[in-house]
Amino acid sequence: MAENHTDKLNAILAQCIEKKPKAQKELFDLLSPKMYAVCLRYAQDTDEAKDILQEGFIKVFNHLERFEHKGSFEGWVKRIFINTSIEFYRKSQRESMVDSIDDVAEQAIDSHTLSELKAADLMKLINGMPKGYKTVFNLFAIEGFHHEEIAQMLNISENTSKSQLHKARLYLQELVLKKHLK
Amino acid sequence: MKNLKETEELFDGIFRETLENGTAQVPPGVWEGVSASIGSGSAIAGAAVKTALWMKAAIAAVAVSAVALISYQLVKEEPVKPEQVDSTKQESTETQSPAIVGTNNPTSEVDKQLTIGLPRSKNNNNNSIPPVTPIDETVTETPVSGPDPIYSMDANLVNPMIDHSPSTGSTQEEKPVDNPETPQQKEVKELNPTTEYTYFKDSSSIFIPTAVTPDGDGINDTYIINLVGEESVEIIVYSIDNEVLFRTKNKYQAWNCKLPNGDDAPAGSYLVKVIYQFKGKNKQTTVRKLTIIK
Repeated sequence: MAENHTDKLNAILAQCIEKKPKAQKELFDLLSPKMYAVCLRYAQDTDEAKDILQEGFIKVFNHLERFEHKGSFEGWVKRIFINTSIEFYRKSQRESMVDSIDDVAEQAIDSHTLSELKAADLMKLINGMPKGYKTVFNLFAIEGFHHEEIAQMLNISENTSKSQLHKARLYLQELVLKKHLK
Repeated sequence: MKNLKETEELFDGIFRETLENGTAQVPPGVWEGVSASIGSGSAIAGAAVKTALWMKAAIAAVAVSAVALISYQLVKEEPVKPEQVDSTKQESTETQSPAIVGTNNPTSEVDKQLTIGLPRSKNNNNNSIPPVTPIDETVTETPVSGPDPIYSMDANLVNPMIDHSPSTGSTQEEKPVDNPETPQQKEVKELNPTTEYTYFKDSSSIFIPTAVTPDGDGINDTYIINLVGEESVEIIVYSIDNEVLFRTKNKYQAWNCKLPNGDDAPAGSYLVKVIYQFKGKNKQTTVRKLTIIK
């Protein structure tokens, strides 16, 4: 089954490299829902997410032949989308990474409460974060990059990355608490 | 109490598990944008793009020459009345840009989005010239201007809301204004029906309000501009007599509509000058009339 899937994907990829429109559309339909979810996590709003999605796919299609079939194709594509998101982030780095939530209560959250939240709720929480926090949190907690890598990607120091992550967590915790107090 | 690290890992883990492989419904229009930019059916993407560009130019050229030919023949066939020649000429110059726009099907969605900003808004600016009011003369003569010419910004700083108001000046008075709605104008309206912001390619934007109502109702009681993506900014409010009433380099600092002596500024007209520089751009200056309404 899994083999079958890979074979099918490889066939689509080969056709995409030949610029067959039907295969291109197929690949887009296959990947776009997942990739759009990635874009939404990083983008400031849905418009920006849409732009990232479009830009990312243009890159994917234009660089398909560079995919070396090492590791999963989806992982490769996802990395392109993450990079594109970071490009957008850099471009639109409006608020610098400021400390705006120093007064957040340092309260460790009960993870049971958190686990009751659905994906949609978590997305909302993430999207409510200031952009600097959001990007670092996404990269570290969800994508699993190390602080060293994040520092390079965002062109910040490792310590900034760490403190941003810490603040992001506090921020999220505060939001979750508020939600549950209501 | 669990140790901190463990709690953090749990916390991150919940987000990761829930969101790592999440999906979202893709909004319409994205595929069209993508497919227009990637070139289908050609072996080399670069070649495809080049062809598209070449074709675009060719189509535009053909369209323009067709229009020119037709108008030429019109002029030739009809006995020459001065008015008619005028209108035909006008038509032929004005059709040029719609002709290109008309063939813009090959233009990718991305290209379009990128070009929306400056050039079209510029058209809007040129064509929607309101009657010139005395206030402009005040502006041009204002001796307070810094190193920048006061109107250097007008082409870039296009604020449709403001531009339609009679207070905005323009140097392009020779342009025909009797044409109520030129094609370009129509297009801009469709594209940008209500936007009050000027969008730049890199999503920097500026909005300079033209009125403030310091009546204590909590709405627009103080004057503040909206600016995103700037490197530096300076906001100066002048009275009509050129007296500086307020000056700040902090875009978040609002003018409380008080005169330097602490009195409330009376209702009426003022001028606001904004000197700003977007990241990687040149310094720009713009002056707007500001009305205090009570």
